Order: sequence, then structure tokens, then C-alpha cells
Amino acid sequence: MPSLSFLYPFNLLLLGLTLLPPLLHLIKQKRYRIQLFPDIRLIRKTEEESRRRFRLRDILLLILRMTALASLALAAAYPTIYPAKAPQGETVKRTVILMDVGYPMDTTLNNGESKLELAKELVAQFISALPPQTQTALLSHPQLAEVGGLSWQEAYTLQNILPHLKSSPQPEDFPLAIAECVRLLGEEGGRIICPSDGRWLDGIDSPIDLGGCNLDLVLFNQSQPDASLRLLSVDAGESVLTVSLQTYVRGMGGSALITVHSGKNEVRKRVELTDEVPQEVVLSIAGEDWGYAELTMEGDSLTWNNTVYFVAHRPPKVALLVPAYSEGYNPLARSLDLGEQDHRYQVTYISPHDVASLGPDTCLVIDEAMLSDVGLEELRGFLSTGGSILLAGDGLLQDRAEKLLIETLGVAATASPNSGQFNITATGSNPNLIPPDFPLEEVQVTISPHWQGPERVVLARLSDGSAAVVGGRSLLGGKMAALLIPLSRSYSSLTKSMVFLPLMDSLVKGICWQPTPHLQLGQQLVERKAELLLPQVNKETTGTIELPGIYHLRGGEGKEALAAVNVAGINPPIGDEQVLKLVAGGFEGGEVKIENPAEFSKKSRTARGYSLTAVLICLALALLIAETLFFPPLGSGYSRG
Amino acid sequence: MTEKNKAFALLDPETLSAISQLDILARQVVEGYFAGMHRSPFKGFSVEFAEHRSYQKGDDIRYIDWKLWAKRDRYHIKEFEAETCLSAILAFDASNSMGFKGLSKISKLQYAVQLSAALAYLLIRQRDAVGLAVMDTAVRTLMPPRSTTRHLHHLLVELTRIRPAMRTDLGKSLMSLGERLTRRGLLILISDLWDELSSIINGLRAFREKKHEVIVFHLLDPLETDISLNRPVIIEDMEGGGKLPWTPRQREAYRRNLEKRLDTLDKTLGEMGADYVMLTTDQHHGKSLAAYLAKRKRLW
Repeated sequence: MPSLSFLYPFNLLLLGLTLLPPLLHLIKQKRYRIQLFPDIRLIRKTEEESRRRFRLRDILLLILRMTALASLALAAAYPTIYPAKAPQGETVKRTVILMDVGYPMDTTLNNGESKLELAKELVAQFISALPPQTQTALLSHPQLAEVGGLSWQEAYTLQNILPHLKSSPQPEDFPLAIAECVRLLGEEGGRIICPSDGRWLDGIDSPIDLGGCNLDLVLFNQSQPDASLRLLSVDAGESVLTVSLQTYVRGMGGSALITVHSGKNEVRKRVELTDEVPQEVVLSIAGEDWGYAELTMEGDSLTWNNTVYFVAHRPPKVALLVPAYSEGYNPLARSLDLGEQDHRYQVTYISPHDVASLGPDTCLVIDEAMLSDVGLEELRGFLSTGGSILLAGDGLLQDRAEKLLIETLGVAATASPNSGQFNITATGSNPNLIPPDFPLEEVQVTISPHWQGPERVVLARLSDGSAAVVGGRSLLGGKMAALLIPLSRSYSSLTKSMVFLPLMDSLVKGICWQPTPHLQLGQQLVERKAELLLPQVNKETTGTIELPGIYHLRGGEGKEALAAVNVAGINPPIGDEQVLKLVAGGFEGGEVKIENPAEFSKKSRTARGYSLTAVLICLALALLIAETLFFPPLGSGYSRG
Repeated sequence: MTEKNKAFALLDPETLSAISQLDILARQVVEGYFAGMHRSPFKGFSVEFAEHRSYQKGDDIRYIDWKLWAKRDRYHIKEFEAETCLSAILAFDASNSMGFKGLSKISKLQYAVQLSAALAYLLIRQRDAVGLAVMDTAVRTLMPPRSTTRHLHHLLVELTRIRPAMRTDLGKSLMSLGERLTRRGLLILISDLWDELSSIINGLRAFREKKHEVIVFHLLDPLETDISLNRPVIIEDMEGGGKLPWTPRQREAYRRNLEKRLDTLDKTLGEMGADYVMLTTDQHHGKSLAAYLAKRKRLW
């Protein structure tokens, strides 16, 4: 079925003008002069006669005038008929999302977000809005297309995959990717949504066979050139931050200035950028634990900036006291291992004799098996200096450990003033780590029957009834927590680690990692949730994150280009000619849609669109002429006889 | 201006000049009190011989025709036509519709007042008796016919006091008036006749059946004869008949219907032996009246 759309849909509001004739009639009727007359019986008679006689004429005249106005209003909206072959978007039940994850998509837009992030948001919204029973697939990695490995996926899965998509330097072959999408959609056809920066459109030399599928191109607008600055890593030393940055420029090269700010300090470095070759830059700066880096490029007529914020992780120091024989495979050691935990902790293995020499900035993690080897006086001394202790274990010695805690530290704790400010919440409900069918849906917190101290140290009970200590408390000026999870239950070591690791992470963070306000601020900036104006940074961060201007291209088929789009805002600029080339010759066998018709260039209006407009204008003129010829105005032309 | 002056101001010199040479002659016998210029149904003793009749006991022997006695040897009395004065009544429609003033300078009521004054003057001048009946839904005022100059004055004063009021119900008013007039005479109805035609005709027919002579002066404003309004208006009935929209395209149909109504009136009144005179208020009442009287005299 051919579809009708309008180039200027807002002009359809002019259809309201069709109400003008009846409104004028009503308004004029209200303003009619009252004429006194001796008797109206003859007038009543003539009025009835004339009403019968003129009713049809009046109705015809009204319809004629309203039709003329409606025709003009429709003509002003430039109606265009699209001979659609594929089903309408609302009824399409098969959709493939083709994500552009090329490096240029990392380019930061005006609002601070990258195009890729916005594309992910857009796709996530799109997926959540899909009707049930819609078959969906996501093609993000070019290799998937090469091996023909694209398959239908659950929306749940897609939503989980989306956040982990990262830009890739690997060149993309979009014709190949589209062919893979078309292969998956098969003969039934469907819809391909392609959020992209549209750069690959330049390289289309020969038509791509859409196989009857619809291709919705979502081109991201940006006001900045395609020069990106990525943060690779921030290493925090004792007093110096080492910031690794990656720069990327496309379409040009040249000199760029990279400036790193942290606190009141600033470090600059000028680099020569090569077209399409990512370049890594490492800068060291002393200052706060967070800051921002700027990339400034100066072209012939353009100057632009890219800014990234960073925050340094200063990993808490963790002293691990585990049995010497189990250092290699001890769950505590494994969970705090540097390699697995992305530099979250500075872990050192200690012996029981080293406890006395630990500084207050260290978290002492004690395997429950080592509890009997460490002197209680040393533990008390460590706590008195402000140190933190985490007692962790698999629960085999739970009773003994608990008893020991109560008899030694617990008694002491009851004797000392308790600040009561320490609280830990660890539910272990991270959806990325725990599969949906895992039984840990709810953590019931109950008080251990052995514990007589404050309620800060509590026992958590898993949903299968087994108990675990997931609490902590302030003790002797320091902090202490315990994490004891039964090992000998039905869980495998894998599932146990899934519960254990996040809980322990939370406990360690809770007792030894106190982020400074500046660090929190930096974290917010990194997460792009900042709604603050930072005078220290002297940089504005906007309060809201908005989607950028998104251009939906929709075109015609074959050589009969139906429309083009105003692409002046797209970088690199895609001229009308290129769009027409894309629409006219780039795709075959399907429909490439153009939306946002209000942005259409007047030059790109198609002959078919004009023809319908011309028809409507002619119709309006014909109606007006007909009115003049066949419905002469009344009230004149009568002689008094 | 005093009431008397106002009254006599109704008789403007132009009108008097137009009608000075004319009389209103009754076309049929009328009953009058005094000898006048109109034939009376009663045989009297005048100059114009009527017939002979047998002498009855008690007859005045002065009227015995001795010549006929000589021929026939029987007593016959000579009878003559008795000439009597005309007893006319001016039936004046004073309903609200008579207050209409459209394209003319004066309203129909003012026109009727002037016309009535002229008629009254004319009748009194020829020593006929004239009375006045002011009507709307009923007979509001009835001045019995008299032929004195003083009566003319009273009548003119009464005319100046007439104000349009109430609705029109000519049929009922005419019936009521007819019951109150015992002597045959002349009924001069001055009205715009905006009432049901059948009702008006029935009222007039009742007069005719009692041998009254009837003259109907039908007054219309020029705007009534042709509603020459070029823009749509809302027309409101002056007698509370409601409102109706008017568009110029109704003009032709209105004229057609009005002509039909006037034709019906003319034809029906003519058939019953009444005179029908249609006057528009843009015509001078004196000249119009003079033209009618001249025409009537010719026909007489």
C-alpha cells in the first residue's frame, strides 16, 4: 500500500481554516441588524420557500469553500506519496539493529556524551518499546557479519549486551553487515535500524541489495569535528597521577594540544595527529585524585575542544592474612587479586607477626583459619590505631570464630564507647554477576544468637536457610567486620564466589575506603551524571543530558529519489548530492526512509511531491472558479421592478 | 402648539386644495337624520318626485294628487325622494404595525391620521355626519357620526391622540363595530390590513350584508411593498410575532406573495361591492385621495 506523508506536517494545522466559512457565517449571523417590520407572516412564508430552494445551494457552497480551503492547506503541507513495498514500521515484527561501533562514534558531542553512548541509549529505548513477540537481533561487531553468525536474540540479552559495547578500531564493512542483516531477515523481510555517524555512506559505490527490507538510518549530528580523546587509564601513585589518553582524528591530521588539569596544576603536551591512526599519550600530573583532559585542535577555519574527565583510583591497602599453604588458591586471595579485580586493592600477604607493624590506612583481612594464630593484643592495638579488620572465611570454623570474637574483641567492644556510625549493606544483587535463576533473591538479616554486642554485626541468612555474617562495627577506634559464608552447602565454588566476591568487595570498601568529596565529584563527572557547576574546574557541565539531533533518512527506490534531508549539521558534511546518490543508487530492493521532513531542503523536493501539491492547488482554483460561475452572490442584481 | 392647533394642522392647505372641488357621494341609499345630498331609503317630501300611492287615512291631504284624482277618481298621494345626510364612520386601525416607518418620511399611522382628517373635513363640509372608530384588537374609541363643525374639531383632536398599540385583530374589531352601528352608512376602513385575510373579509362582509357601503384604504410603506434591503438582517415582528432571518434572495418571493395578497384583497372586496384603495405612504395623501374621489365620481 502506498503511504502518504507530508513534507511540512505542521502546515496541516492550516486545515483549521476549513472551519472559517461556517465560523464566519455564525459570527456574521450574530452581528445581523435587527429590522422592525409590521408583520412577518409573508416573510415566514417566503423564508420557508427560499429555505427549501436554497438549502442545497448553501450546503454545496459551504462544501465547495471548505474543500477549496482544505485543498490549499494540504497543498501547503506538500503531500508526498511513497510507494512502500515493505510493511509499515508499526507492523514489522522482525528488527535487526546494526550498531556502528567505529572509532568515530566515540566522538564527544556538545552535551558531553559520545555518539556511541547516545546510540546505545536510543537503541535501549527502542528495544524497550518494541512490541512483544518481536524478533530482534543486534549486530555490533564486524566479525559477526564476516562469519555469518548473526542470530535472533532475546530483548533481555540485548539490553545486557548494550552497556558493554565499546568502540572498535577495526574497520567496518557496512555493505557486508547489511547483507548479513538481510540474510537474517530472510524472505519475510523486516526492518534494519542503523544508528551511525553515516561516514560509511561515502564509500558506497555500488547498490546494496536490501532484499525488500526497510533500512532506517539514524544519523547522529554533531557540531564538532571528528576528533576524539579517550581516557585509557589513570594510575595513582603516592602523589602523582599518570593519565593515559588516546587521541583519534578522522579526515585530517595536524597539531593538537593536550592539556591535563588536576587541582590547580596543569600539564600540556603538543602532539602531531595522523589521520585515522589512534595515538596514545601519557601525561603525569600532581594534584587531586581527579581532573580533566582537553584536546584542542586548530584547523584552518575551525577550533574545537574535546574534554574527558577522569578520577584516579587509589586502591585501598589490604593486608591479607591467610594460611601460607593456601596463598595461591585461597578464596580471599583470589577475590582480592589484582588481576581479577581491576586494581581495586593493593594487596600484600602478611604473617601474623606483621600485624603490629600495619599502618592505620590498611585493611587487615584475616582468614578465619588464621584467627587463632594472631595475638588478640595485636589485633586490639591495630584497631586502636584506627585500622580496619575484616574477618572472612568459608564458615567451617564459624562457631569458633564467632565465639572467639565475642570472647575477645566483642567483650572489649561492649566496654568501649561505640560510635554506631558504621553500617554496611551488601545484598549481592548485581545483575551482571548473578544469573536470574540464582537462589539469592532475598537476604534475610537476623541477629546471631551468640552475639550480645551492638547490632552492627549481624548474620545474614541466605534464601536456602544457610547463614552468613555480613556485618561490621566500630571497635576500639578502628573498624571490624566479618564475612563468613558456609562452604559445605550445596553451592559450587563458582556460585559461592559469585556471592562472596561482591559481599567482600562491599565490606572492604566499607571499612577502609572513604572517598573524599572531590573524589565523589570526579566519579560523578566520569559517570556523566554531574549536575554541578564547578568553580574549581572553571568548566560548565550541563544539568541535563539530551539526545542530539538525530536525522532519520528515508528515501525512495531506484533512481526515483523521493526526498533528501537537510544534512548541513552532519559532520563530515554530506551534501544533497551525496544523499541523493545514497537514496537513488545506494540501495535496491528495499526502502530507505527519511524522517524529520521538516528539515527537508526545498531543493530536494521530488516531482511526485510537487505533482500532488499542484493537483491540490489546481483543485482549489477550480473550486473557486466554480463558485464564481455557478454561485453568484445573492443580494444584488435584483431590480425593484 | 395647542391641541386645537395641532388638530387643525392636520388639514394642510395642499390637501384642502386638492379635495376642495370633490365630494364623497354615497353610491347607495343611506339613512340619515338630516336632509342632505344622498338618497335616503325613506320616501319623503322633497322636490324630486318618486311615486304615487293610495291615500291612507291620516295622510296629509296637501300631498293628494288632484290631477290623478280627476283622471281616476281615486285619491293618490304624491311621494318624493327624501335626500338625507351621509353617516360615515372612519374605522381607524391603530395597531402597532401602523407605527411602522420604513423608507417613507412618515409612519403609516401618521399617514392614516392625515387621511382621516381630510376625509372627515370633506364629509363635514358636505354636511354629512362622520364618526371615528379606533381599533386594534377591539374597538378602543367610538365617536358617533355627527355633522357639526364642533364635531370635526373633536374628531381631529381625537385623531391627534391616537398612538399605535396592541396587536391587529381587524376581523373581531369590525364585527364589534358592525354590531354597534344601527344605521346604514359608509364605512371607511383605514388600515395596513396585516391580519388574516379571511378574518378581514368576514368583518367587511358583515358590513356589506347590513347594506353599509365600504371603502378600504390599504396603507403600506414602500419598504413593505418591496423589501429592498441589500444585506441580510433579522426581521422582528412589531406585533410580537417573532424574529426571522432575511436575506435579499427572499425579495422576489416576498414581492410575489405580496402581489398575490393584494390581488386577493382587490378581487374579493370588489366582488362584495366594496372599494379597495391601496396607498403607499410615500404618496401625498391629499393627491391620492383626490385621485380616488375623482375616479369614484366618474364611475358614479
